[in-house]
Amino acid sequence: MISEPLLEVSNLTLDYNLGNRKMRALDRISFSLDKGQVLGVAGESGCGKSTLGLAILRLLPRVAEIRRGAVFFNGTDLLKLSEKQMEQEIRGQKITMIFQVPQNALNPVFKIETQMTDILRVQDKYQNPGTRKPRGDFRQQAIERLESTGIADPEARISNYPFEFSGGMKQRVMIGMALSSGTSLLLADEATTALDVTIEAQINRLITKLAAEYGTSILYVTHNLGVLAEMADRIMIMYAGRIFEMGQTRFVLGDPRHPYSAALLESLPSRQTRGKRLLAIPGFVPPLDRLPSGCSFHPRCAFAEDICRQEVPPLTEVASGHWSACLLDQKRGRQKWKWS
Amino acid sequence: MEVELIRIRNLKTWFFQGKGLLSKWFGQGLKIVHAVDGVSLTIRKGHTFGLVGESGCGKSTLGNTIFRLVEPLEGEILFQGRDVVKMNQKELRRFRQQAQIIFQDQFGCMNPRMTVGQIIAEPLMMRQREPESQKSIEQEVAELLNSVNLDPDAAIKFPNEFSGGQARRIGVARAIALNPMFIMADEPTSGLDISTAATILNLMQDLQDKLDITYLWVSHNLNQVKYMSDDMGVMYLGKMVEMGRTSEVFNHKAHPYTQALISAVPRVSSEQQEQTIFLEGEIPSPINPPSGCYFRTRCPQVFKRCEEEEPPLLDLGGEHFCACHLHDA
Amino acid sequence: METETVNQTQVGISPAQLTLKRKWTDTLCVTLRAVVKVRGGLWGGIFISVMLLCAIGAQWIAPSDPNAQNIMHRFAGPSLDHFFGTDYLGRDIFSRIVYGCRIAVMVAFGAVTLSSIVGVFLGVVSGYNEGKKIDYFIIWVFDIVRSFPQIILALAIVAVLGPSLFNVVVALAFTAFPFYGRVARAQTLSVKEADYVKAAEAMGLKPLKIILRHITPNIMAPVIVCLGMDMATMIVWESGLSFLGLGVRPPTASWGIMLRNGYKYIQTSPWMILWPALAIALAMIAFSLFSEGLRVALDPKERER
Repeated sequence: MISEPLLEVSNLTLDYNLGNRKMRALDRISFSLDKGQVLGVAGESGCGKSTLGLAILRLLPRVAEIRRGAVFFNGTDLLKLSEKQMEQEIRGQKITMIFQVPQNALNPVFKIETQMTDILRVQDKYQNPGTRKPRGDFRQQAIERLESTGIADPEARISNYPFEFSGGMKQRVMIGMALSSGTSLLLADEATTALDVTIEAQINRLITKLAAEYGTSILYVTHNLGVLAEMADRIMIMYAGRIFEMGQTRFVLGDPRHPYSAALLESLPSRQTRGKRLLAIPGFVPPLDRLPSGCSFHPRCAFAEDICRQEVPPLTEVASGHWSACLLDQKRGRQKWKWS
Repeated sequence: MEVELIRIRNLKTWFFQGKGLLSKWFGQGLKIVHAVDGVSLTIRKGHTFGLVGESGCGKSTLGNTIFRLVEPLEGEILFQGRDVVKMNQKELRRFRQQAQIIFQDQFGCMNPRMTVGQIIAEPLMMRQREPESQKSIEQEVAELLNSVNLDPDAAIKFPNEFSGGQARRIGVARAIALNPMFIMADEPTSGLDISTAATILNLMQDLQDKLDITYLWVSHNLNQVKYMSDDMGVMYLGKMVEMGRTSEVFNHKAHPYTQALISAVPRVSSEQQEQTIFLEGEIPSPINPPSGCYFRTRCPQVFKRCEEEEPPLLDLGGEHFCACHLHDA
Repeated sequence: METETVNQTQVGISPAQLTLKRKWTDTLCVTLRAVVKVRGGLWGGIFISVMLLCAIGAQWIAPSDPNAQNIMHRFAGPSLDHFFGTDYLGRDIFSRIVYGCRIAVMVAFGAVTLSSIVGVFLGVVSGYNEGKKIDYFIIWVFDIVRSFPQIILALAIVAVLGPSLFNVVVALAFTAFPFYGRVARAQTLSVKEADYVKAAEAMGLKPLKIILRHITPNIMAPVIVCLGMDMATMIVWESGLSFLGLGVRPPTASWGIMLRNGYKYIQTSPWMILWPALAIALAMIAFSLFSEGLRVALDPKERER
């Protein structure tokens, strides 16, 4: 029996209302995520990948307006839940999020123990309404969480202040709080971008290990395609609020169906030898309130034709499990989008 | 004939904390941060030297010391044969016109209250020698902006009106204003998108070809270093652990740290990836580095000698150096 | 490629200033517009403009001579002849208020300018040379001056020098300069670590040039906000000193002297004290609002693209 996907985003459209400007940060985003899967979301600045994560948890500022769409989590539309239900049942428990700069997530004047037990206590209160246990009851649980993230000597270190922890260790604390047996979905927003390479490898290994242990699905947002190549089962490439390509990682990165994906890959120094120029996509990402007509990428695309200017390409399944939003790809089938 | 532009010999930059009486009585006394702890390297003229390492390895301090923004404890920095450490103010001024920095923080390195034109014109107005042509300063600024593919009317705008990539290009324009021989680029593409970074890398290469600039490329992005540099050095906790031609270092990773570092780099490639070597533990503090080899606390191939004796930089032949006892047969 | 060929001999400015610097008038307009956008900044600005007008054009705005006595009509209430009434010597209070603006503005601008220039200069020098002997010496000077209660110090100076407008300005400036010094020093300590200062050093720029070109402009934002607030404070100080008889000499019309004269008659003729007190209060509010607007306007992060 094929089970229902854990997360199903359907036609999600979101605007930022800034005075007289309306920025379409997300445009008809539709995708699904199964239990235990890792979906990577890649794209450059302004593509909406961070907004997507925040939209799922409904953590966006008031200027953000969801125009259409639904976010089905285990069958329930998160957009229709009340704020109270989001806070008590979803955020921090079933769906958790970790961010790029762990320093900013931890309060520098409180010990790690205080901050962790605080969260555990509040979660316990939501799960068992009416009770209020003292913070000390949760100390052991906090220590176990730290231990699961590989921090040495957790009993002693839990009494430290955040400044006594390195960047990698702080991220481990965040992962410890974010990943537990109750977590169904982890949203990671550039979780390792600010870390050193060897620490990044450790942290990503930790995330993978714990997620597998608890059966947690991951929505991993980053601009680093290399990380996704190693961690993600499926990958989604976004541009200016739209999905351009989506599918299994090895196919999207190995044989991209969309010219933009191909261009990104050709811009990577790891794919090029010394002395040869990298591909630099001409032009720049359009501002979200003045998107080009038709395909939003057409002004910069080396392969654009008239039709690209006229019609907005829909996200279509061009091969089993592989979707792309390029009219030329859909009409002509597999192309080799070689830019240089 | 390969010409050496910079040769650094046994450079040490230490920072002293807690020198006062109060530290002695109430604190932990004198703490010495071994930021750069005996580094030697050679940078070939017209080539790019990539300097890699993680937090606390000392690569930024090394860069600052080369420009004497911070004073070294001991060692030599030979620029075209003259020791920068011993230069007086006048010679230092001349050196600083031939050597420039592109800073990591592309916005922070520009005075927010000056227009872009003033920022780029500043080095031009400090020029010691009269320029050959009779161009006005504003014409030169316009040309410099053009050479980094920016509109000349950017000159009257303020830095915060630009995007990250554009700000980076303004920094580059300022750095090449005096036609320097040597530029240190400190994480030149940090914070930039993939395609913006590609633009910057192409630009830097073009400038190197056109103006014959020597680069010191400081970065933690190994993919980028492999692509941009001819020679490279790997630093760990203030020491140079491996050094040589980039292709040599990548193909024959001699030092265990280099092996772990390169294997940890996430890569999009169609070839079979090698197994990632995971280093356990955290980077030790540079205040009290471990005895013997600094890397021994995390090294997967550590043995007894590593604790007792500090490994010297051994010549493995073919301009390839490594500081590890494993190669001292 | 654009090559602008401007006939530089005709224009007397250096080429760098032609297109590299934004016109100061443009910057001024942008700044004022930004100040006005902040709530209250507009009203503060309007009131201050009115004060400045009165200060400069007192002789045209005031309906009568502020010192003209008219014993017949003393203690008169507000009327068409005398908008605010007359005081105990029959002098027109409205005219005295207008002329009092002049004193208030002179004291405010004078004292604040003097104390800020001295204070900021010492503060920046001290901050840039952090840890060196000159830093310690300057801090020592600040601390000594600050250890005196402000009012005692001001009174002492005026008592020694004698009451006059100039001496009041000097006394107030002297009590206030360490405050600017401390603010400037604290800002300098953080600004000097900025990358653009490092860039200037790496270019070989001399320390004095670095201080003038890179450090001072970037510490001025909090200083300017302090200036705004301080002007209001100085007006209050002047009125306090004049109230005690150690400020401007009568018969000069200053708001403080008017308070001094008026409080004796508060039960019979409250107009004498009401109008100067109101003027002082409104001036304080106006300067506070305006300086808040300035703070927002001068923040480079808030500048629009």
